[in-house]
This record gives sequence, C-alpha cells and structure tokens, in this order.
Amino acid sequence: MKNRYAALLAGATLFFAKAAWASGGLAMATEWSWARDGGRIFNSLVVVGAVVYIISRFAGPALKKRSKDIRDEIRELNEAREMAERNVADYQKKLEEIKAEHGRAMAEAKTEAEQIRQRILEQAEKAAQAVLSRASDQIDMETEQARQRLQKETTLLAIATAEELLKKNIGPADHKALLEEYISNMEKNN
Amino acid sequence: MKETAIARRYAKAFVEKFPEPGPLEAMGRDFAAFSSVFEGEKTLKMVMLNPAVPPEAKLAILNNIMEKMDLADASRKALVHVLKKKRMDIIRFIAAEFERISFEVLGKVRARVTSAVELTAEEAGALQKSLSEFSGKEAVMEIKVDPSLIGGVVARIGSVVYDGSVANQLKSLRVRLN
Repeated sequence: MKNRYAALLAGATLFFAKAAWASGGLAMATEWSWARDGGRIFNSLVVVGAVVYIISRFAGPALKKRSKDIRDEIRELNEAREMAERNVADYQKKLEEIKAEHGRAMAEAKTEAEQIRQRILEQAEKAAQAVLSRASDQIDMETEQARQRLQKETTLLAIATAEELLKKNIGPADHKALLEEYISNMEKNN
Repeated sequence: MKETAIARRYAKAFVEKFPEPGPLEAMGRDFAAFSSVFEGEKTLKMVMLNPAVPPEAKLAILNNIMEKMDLADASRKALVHVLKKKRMDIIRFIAAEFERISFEVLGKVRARVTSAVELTAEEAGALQKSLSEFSGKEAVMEIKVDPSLIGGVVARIGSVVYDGSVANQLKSLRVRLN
C-alpha cells in the first residue's frame, strides 16, 4: 500500500510540474485553452500513468522484496540482540554465581585451613605432652630403679657383712643354742 | 627310673625272704656298706661289671669282700643272688630301695642331718628323739658336717626338709629384702 501511495504521489508531482510547464509558467498562463491545455493535461496523465505503471510493474516487487528483507534482517538482528542480551544476562548471572561460589570456597578454605591449623597445633601439643609425660615417667622409673638397685646393694652388703661377722663370731654356745632352738621349733610344730 | 623299679622288686623279695627285724636291720647296714664300697672302688666296679670276667672269678671276688666286711649271712645270700642275676650295676638302687622298704616294715625313717659343727652324742640323741617324735617313726640319722651352714642344722626326712641353718636364714633374708 505504501508503495502505491508513493507512486501516486510521484505521479501527482510530475502532473503538477508538467501542467506548470505546459502552461508556460504560472505567470504566463493567462487564458485557458481546451485544445492546448487539455492536450497538455492528457499528455501529462499519459506520462504519469506510464510512470506509475512502470514503477508498479517493475520496481514494486523489488522494493517489496527489499522491504521484506530489511524487515527480516531487522527482526533477525532484534532476535540476535535479544539473544545476546539474554546471553549477557546469563553470563552476568553465571559470573555472579562464580563470584559467590569463589567467595564461599575462599571462606570454606579459610575455615578449613584454620581448623587444620588448630588440629595440627592440638596434635603438636598432645605429642609434646606425651613426650614430656614419657620423659617424666622414664625419669621416675630410672630413679626408682636406681633407688631399688642401691637398696638391694646396700641390703646385700649388710647381709654379707652379717654373714662374715657370724662366721667369725659364732661359737660352741651359739651352736648349742641354735640346735636347742631348732629342736624346740620342731616340737612346737609337731 | 627303670633301675629303681627293678631294684624295688629285688628289695621287696629280700624283705619278704628275711622279714625278721634282726636280719632286716643287718641287711640294711650291709647293703649300704657294700654299695658304698662298690661305687667307691672304680676298679672293683669295672671288673664286676665286665662280661669278659668269668662268673666264678666275680663270685670269688665278692666272697672275699663279704668276708672282709664281715657281712651277715642273709646279706651274703642276697648279694650272691644279685651277682648271679648280673644286676650288680644297680646295687646302689637295691640298697636304697631295701632300706626304704625295710624301714617301713621296721617302723623307721631315714633322717639325713647336716650340721654346721660336729654334734655331741647328747645333742645327736636329743635331735634323734625330736626327729622321731616329729616323724612318728624311729628316726635313723645319717649325720654330715657342713661348715657353710655357719650355724644350726638341716634335717631331711624323705622329701621333707627342716632347715634351721643360719645360712638358710640369711638366704631367706636376702630373698625377702630383694
């Protein structure tokens, strides 16, 4: 429809220009003549019709096709733009998610690192305590062993001394007393 | 172990053959004395146990020894029997088993006493009396002297030991204080 209106508008323009020209200018048209002016109008109409016909016959479909192509291109470009906008929005969203995930991961990593640090510290402290405890036990044990060894050596020395003294000093009276004590104990146990 | 079982059979047979107290006591003393000589004299033992020496020669040697030791008749018969049975190798086991069985028959018990010093007759008598009362049988003492006891005595009756020595008391003290 637009093309048709355009063709009519072009034809009207040419008609009025032709009429003006055929009349020999507005200033010069002083008197109407059917033969002259009517012929000129007729001729103009013929030219206009030919132009309209030619335009509508040959340029119309091309212009329609071009118009359609342009609309299609505009539509496709709009679709592409919308898709690009959606993609941008998606990427933006993903980027935000990634940033949030990164933040969470960093926070978790920090928490975990802190926990690991604490755990390592606790383990180290426990190990140190265990080492200290073992060392303390070892010292106590060795002290006790040394004390026992000393006590044992002292005891054995005392007994050995007593034995030597008995060997030197025991006499017949002592032997007799020992035998009497032996017999007495045997009678008691009987 | 095997020797003890065989010796027990011989000893039991001798006790049954001469059950009176007189011969039993004499045989006990004779067996102990002969066993001591036999085990102490290595040459005698070697000859008497050598299969190459004729039995007549062994019997002559045995008779000679028994004569010199003035053994009782019952003892002589028993030892000749052992020789003929070629069991001189276990004479010490036979002597031990004979003493054990004959002591049971006679109501006696062997008391092996070790003393730090020599006991007087009076001390030995008191100890013998005490051991007899303690064991419920007549104690026949076999006394040895061992100065390492320092003081006191040790008596062994069968498998029971009564230790009253100073050495043992010191040993107990060592064990207790360790």
